[in-house]
Amino acid sequence: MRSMLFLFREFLSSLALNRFLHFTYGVQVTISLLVLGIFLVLMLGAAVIWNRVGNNLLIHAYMSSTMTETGILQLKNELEQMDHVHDVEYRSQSDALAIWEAKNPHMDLGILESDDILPASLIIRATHPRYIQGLAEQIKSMPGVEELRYGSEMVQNFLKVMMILISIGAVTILLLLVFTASSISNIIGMSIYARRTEIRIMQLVGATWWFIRWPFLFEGVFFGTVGAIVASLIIWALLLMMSEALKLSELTLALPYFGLNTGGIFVVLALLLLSLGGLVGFFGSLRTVNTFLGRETEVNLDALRVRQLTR
Amino acid sequence: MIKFVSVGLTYPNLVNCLRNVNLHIQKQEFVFVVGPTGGGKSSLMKLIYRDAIPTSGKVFVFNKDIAKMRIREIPFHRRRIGVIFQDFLLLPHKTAFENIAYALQIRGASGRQIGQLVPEVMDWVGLTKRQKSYPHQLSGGEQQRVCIARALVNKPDILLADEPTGNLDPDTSKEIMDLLVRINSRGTTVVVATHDENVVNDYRKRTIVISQGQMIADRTEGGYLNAEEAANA
Repeated sequence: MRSMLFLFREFLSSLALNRFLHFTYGVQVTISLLVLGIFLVLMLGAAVIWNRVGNNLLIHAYMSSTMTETGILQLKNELEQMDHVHDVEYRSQSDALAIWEAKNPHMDLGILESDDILPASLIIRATHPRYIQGLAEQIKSMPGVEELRYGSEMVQNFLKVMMILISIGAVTILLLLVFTASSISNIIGMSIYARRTEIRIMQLVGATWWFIRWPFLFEGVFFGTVGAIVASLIIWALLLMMSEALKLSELTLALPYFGLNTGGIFVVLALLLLSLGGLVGFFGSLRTVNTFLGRETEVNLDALRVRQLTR
Repeated sequence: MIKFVSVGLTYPNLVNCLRNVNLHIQKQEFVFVVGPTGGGKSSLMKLIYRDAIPTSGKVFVFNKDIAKMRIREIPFHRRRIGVIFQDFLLLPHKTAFENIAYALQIRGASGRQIGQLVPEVMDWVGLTKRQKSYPHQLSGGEQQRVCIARALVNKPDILLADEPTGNLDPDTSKEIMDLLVRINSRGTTVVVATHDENVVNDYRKRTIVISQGQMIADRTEGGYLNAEEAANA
């Protein structure tokens, strides 16, 4: 514990000694994490839209007028047993009429003096939007089904495009994570070079390998987390500005996650960025520390040992 | 305490540093290792503090084969050995006191231990009044004293000095050598690698001559290279 406190103080004094250098390192990591954060926001938004649109996609199967209620309920049971079916709702002719009247209060169908003007239907929700097309094909050929309506081709295409965008976004985020890790690795590499005398002294006076590594790991985690905090704050400010701008336009209706839940998005993003920043900082610096310090000590010794064994 | 048995050392770039070196250094001995630059003196030192391992033969330090030492044992091996160099290796942003305390801090010593041991060793090497000075405010001799104090503060069994007077004028060199002799008289084994003829001739301690990686003489009565050795060097 005493050693860790000493190492932490050493790390702080090293930060203070090379203020300008560390500031530029910090800016470099912050920019990487900022770009990463912006992509995360876009991904979160895309995922929300995809889910919302996807969950609203239903299959409406309109029943033939010859089907009795018993027959329809039997069909409902059959459908509920099918793979990829989440739930099935039965809408009788009178229910359909009531809904229609509620939606169109100015149009009076009472003159027809009949409540069987609209067909009964089964409303099917799939477990995932990608199964809708397949389910529709199967239901269409079922006896008693007269007509089928489900998410239009445009919506289906929209979902496909969203899926592609989410995939591209995921790959980009992975690449940005690698880029951030290599930024931190470079920083630690330069830091090791700048402190090579100190490392040599540590080795000579009997510091353990972990004791030598810790200050650099502190540094990696420090840059990762501070970069994440600054990047999160910048993104928060951008989200606030955007949501204010969107409130003035009708886009808020189309993109509800922007206008309505900026706080939630920010909390998720900040937690994600902090965890990613800390982890990438730790493992990025650990990799570099092992590479550089290993190259000067253990690896050389191991190479020598191999030569000895092969003699 | 230190034993070399048919030791050879070849670096990965195939440079032969040591060839068939056999020697035995007893506890509390004072030994000079002399020879021309690039002759293998520093490599011999590196083997003792396990900064290298032999490519042939065996090196025993504290009765342990250094080639069989595990990586995690090396720091504890080095805590029993003090090392000083020609180029001092001091941290420029730390005072003389802090540079010496550093060796204790990395071992997890308490503030009280540091407060007691560091002034004691600084007094011993004659630096009591220079505790708060930074390396650039110290003369070469004083900087080397700080290094010696840093090596001594852990109370090592062996002190290795690689060209300790290389950057110092003759008077200061003598002061440093006197200090090393005093350290030896307290029971520490001292090995000094040097090519300073005057130093070796003045002190008349056991002298091992190394040239082109080979041990060509081991004189208990001391003395620098003779004419034949100098011609072969």
